[in-house]
Amino acid sequence: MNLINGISIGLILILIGFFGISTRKNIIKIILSLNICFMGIILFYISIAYVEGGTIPVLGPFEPIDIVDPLPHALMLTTAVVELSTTALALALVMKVYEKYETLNVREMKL
Amino acid sequence: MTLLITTVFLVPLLGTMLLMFFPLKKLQYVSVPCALYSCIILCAYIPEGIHGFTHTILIWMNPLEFTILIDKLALLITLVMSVLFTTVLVFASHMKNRKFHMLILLNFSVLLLSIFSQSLLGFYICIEMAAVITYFLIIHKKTPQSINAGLIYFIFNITGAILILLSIIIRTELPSIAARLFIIGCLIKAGFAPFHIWLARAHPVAPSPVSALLSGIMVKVSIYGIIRFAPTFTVDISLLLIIALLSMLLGVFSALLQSDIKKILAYHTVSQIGFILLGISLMSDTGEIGGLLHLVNHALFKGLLFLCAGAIIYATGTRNLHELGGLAKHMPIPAVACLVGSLAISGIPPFNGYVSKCILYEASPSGYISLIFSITCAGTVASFIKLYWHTFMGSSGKKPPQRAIPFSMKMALLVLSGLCIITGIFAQHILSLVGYQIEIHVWNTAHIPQIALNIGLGVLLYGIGMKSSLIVHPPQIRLSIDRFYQVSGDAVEYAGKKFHDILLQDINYYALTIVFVLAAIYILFSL
Amino acid sequence: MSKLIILLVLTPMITTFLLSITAIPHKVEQKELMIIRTILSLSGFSVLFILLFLCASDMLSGEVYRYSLGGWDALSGIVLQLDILSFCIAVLSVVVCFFALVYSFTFMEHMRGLGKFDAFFFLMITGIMGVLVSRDIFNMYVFFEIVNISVYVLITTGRKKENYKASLKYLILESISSILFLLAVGIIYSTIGSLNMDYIAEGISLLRIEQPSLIILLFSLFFVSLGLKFGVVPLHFWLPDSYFAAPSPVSTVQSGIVSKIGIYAMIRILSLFGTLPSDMNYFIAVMGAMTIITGTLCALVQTDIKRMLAYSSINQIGVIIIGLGIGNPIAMKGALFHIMNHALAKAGLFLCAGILIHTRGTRKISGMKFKDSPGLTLSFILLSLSIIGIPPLNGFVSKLIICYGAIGAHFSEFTFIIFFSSILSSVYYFRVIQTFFPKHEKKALTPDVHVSTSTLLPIYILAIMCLLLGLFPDTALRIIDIIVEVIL
Repeated sequence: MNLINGISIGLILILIGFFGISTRKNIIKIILSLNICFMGIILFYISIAYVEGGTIPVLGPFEPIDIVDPLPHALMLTTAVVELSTTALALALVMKVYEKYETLNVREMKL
Repeated sequence: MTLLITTVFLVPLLGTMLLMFFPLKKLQYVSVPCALYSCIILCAYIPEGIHGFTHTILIWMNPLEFTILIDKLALLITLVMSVLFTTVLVFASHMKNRKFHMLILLNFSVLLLSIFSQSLLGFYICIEMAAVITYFLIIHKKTPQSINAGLIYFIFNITGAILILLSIIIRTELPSIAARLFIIGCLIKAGFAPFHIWLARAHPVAPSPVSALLSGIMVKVSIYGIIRFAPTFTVDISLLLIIALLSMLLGVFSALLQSDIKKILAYHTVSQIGFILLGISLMSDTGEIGGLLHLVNHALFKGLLFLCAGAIIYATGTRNLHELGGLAKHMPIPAVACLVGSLAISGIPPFNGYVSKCILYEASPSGYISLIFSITCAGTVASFIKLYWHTFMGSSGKKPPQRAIPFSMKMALLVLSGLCIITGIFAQHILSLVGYQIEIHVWNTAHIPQIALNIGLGVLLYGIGMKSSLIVHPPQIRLSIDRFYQVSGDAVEYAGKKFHDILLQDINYYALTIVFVLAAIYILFSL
Repeated sequence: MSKLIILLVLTPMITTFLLSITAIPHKVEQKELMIIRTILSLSGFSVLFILLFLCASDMLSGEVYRYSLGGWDALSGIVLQLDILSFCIAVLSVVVCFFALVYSFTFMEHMRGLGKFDAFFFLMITGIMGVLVSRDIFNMYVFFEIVNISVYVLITTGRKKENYKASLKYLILESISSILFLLAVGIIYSTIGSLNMDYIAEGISLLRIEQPSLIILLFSLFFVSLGLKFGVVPLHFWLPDSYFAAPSPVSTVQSGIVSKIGIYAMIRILSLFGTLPSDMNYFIAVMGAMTIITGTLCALVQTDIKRMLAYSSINQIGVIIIGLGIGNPIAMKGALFHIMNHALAKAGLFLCAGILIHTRGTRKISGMKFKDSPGLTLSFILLSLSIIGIPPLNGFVSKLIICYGAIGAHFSEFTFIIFFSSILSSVYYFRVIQTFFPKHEKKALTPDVHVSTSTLLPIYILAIMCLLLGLFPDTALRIIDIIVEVIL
């Protein structure tokens, strides 16, 4: 099994995201790290769905032998939408927090 | 006939409901008949109760089955409890606050239930409810000191109650720890030394009827718990002898140094329950009967003394011994009642205190126990000479009586004094009526030397105290037990603060903690 | 009848939509809009009550409703299921949310003025109902996200700076929780191939023999993810700020229901694992014990009443976790009863705290003096006694049952921890109660704001329910017996 495949890169992205949340002091960088985590998750799911030599799951003139599993793709659409709204809300909150606290530094505003 | 026994505690409960839901004007007088009813019904049960019978109550929609067990022990204690409650309610009928009467009636029915209950869990539940209700009674005056004292009372009582609950729960699993926890819980709730500081703080600030009930009944229920349930826990009660002796001495000598009349009486409660525990822990028949009789008598004469103090406070408005004086000419009935009470507690014939102390003295083996016994009696005598002299005798103090005490108070005091005398003279008859037999001849002249010795030592102590002006201006001793509790309380708060400050960090640390926890769980279970 | 399930989720969704329409027009009078909003909210709740009432008799006899969305079969479709555990928690949520909303009618006129509060409130209820009925693990995640988003917005009503900060902190930590949850779901899907909980249960029982390390990974991911949602101790950091900053109706629903949803999810997901090995059970119980100790010690030193209530919530959730962790049917019964009791009691306490803060203008414990309303004082006393665990109230009964369960499983140390926390809880609750009592001082405090009956009525009802459940717990206990049979 190839070591560099979607699953492992997904996991590495998640770890990079966690590292970002744990160490970065700027709140926008923390939100970006959350986004990186989610991207990693999306990659993870999509690579789970991948079947070697599979084709797209569309019924056409010919019978497909191996199809890529479409369910995780659907799940990831949902996840992407959820993540989008969460990020939008987070950025709106950051705007409000900046208005009140005058700083984006996590240490200074004691988040 | 067994249904009638359930009405004993249902009628006060009904009285509570009546007081709660019907805001009529003079309705607080309904409390006295309720208590009186219970008293009468319990008297009616004496012939049946001697043989002991049980009755199960099933509460609607509650899986807990309440079994009432009535035998001579329960009957004795509930009789004196109902008498005291009735008298105290008569005394307190001048207080127009409906909530006060409501809480006392509720307390009465819950305490009755706790003494009647056969199972440990029922006992615990009722004791816990009584503790909460008593808290609200203690803080009835709502001054800042009473609220502080109420909190301390509550913490101690809750600790004791929860130790009792713990011991009930782990009884099958860890029997030895359960036994120790039960005993310690009951000791805390009863106010034995070294857990007596809540008693000393709660009494001065509570209204006097509540003090009478607190000292007279509520501490006794825990002692009843020890007597009744110690066999279930297979615990060796004789180790409690040390606590008994400690309470006796500590109570008496603390009382000698106080100048607040209710604090004096509170410390004497500590000392007298030491006597009760002494009787119980001696593990002999005579000792047990002596302890029980002292329990009954103490309820009566301590209730009487607290009600006298209540009358004094009502009339003069002060609790301080140094401001009182010469009240005997203004308030004859409280003076007589207080004299009866002081003589009873000092153990002078023909009052009831003498009978029980005599039995206890006979039961205690000679040696250091008798020595401590005599010293404590002497200290009691000295303390009450001081109390009586400085309040009723002598010239008028700084605070002469402002108002006359109402008739209900006088009646209550007279009834209790009469009961003290009657239970003193007819002690043996009363006990055999309830089912206990004693063979000691209390009215023997052989006891006179001991009595004279006690009185003599007491007078001597008082004299020394007056001469060295220790009694008039007591030294400020910071009792180390009080400090210990304060320090431990502060330590807990300090630990809490440090702990809380450690947990308050930035979000980076939180995220790191989450990742660490994840890794830790995985590694923990992979091993 | 099983179509009722979909209505349970749809009704609040439609109400949200209608309420958000009322937030848009600015030409119409605000007063009329408020009346429309009030009518809409109340009708939404009444429909929910009717639906739950219709399901009641079937649920109580142990029946289970199933409904698959779109008719797809269970393997690749979404199945909604209503069984008695979901039903009970649904009833609890609807009752508590109803009281919180009624409370907010009189109390938060200025905050509700823009209409967003009601809309997001109903969105939260949608999410809660969705979590309760979903039998598909990814569906549960989606509904959890709906709850989370609505709570993020609801915390910020009030527009002070600590609201935004608390919401942001909550957001970031809950996003981590979602990431871990999704990771776990991904692992499940890749190894088992279905997202339906029944199939997952079968798959895990096969997987335990083949790859036990995967089970451990799944357990740890789920535990951390769900633990972040309800507040086990090393993962509770968002809780005090969030409960403190949110307005009282929101704190009520948060502490009463949202944390219980997390516990519900944990019950469901842990039941998928079959019988856990005993050291995992013990580990969960130990986490519960740590939670109790932290909650108690931190609550002792708080000077602000809502933070104190937040730490007390952490305390009680620890008790519930101990009950769940022990794994005995008796302890599970106690834990479920405690979920119910704590939801009711904490809801009442947060509502009381809201009234106290509003009328006395301060959040510090030393500043609270409210002897003008004896009903409120009595209710506060009853509710706090329930949480401390004093007979005859319901908190005592549930703690007792949990302790009996602990003894039955030979874990007696948890008994000590639960009851020592009771002793310390009495300290900090009575510190608040004793401020109710001092006599009036001569100088006038802030003039009393009149507290209307509709604000006090939910508190009275909750206090009376606590007392009744404590004195007569049999009905509740029988229902919980049925629940425990169905789960285990």
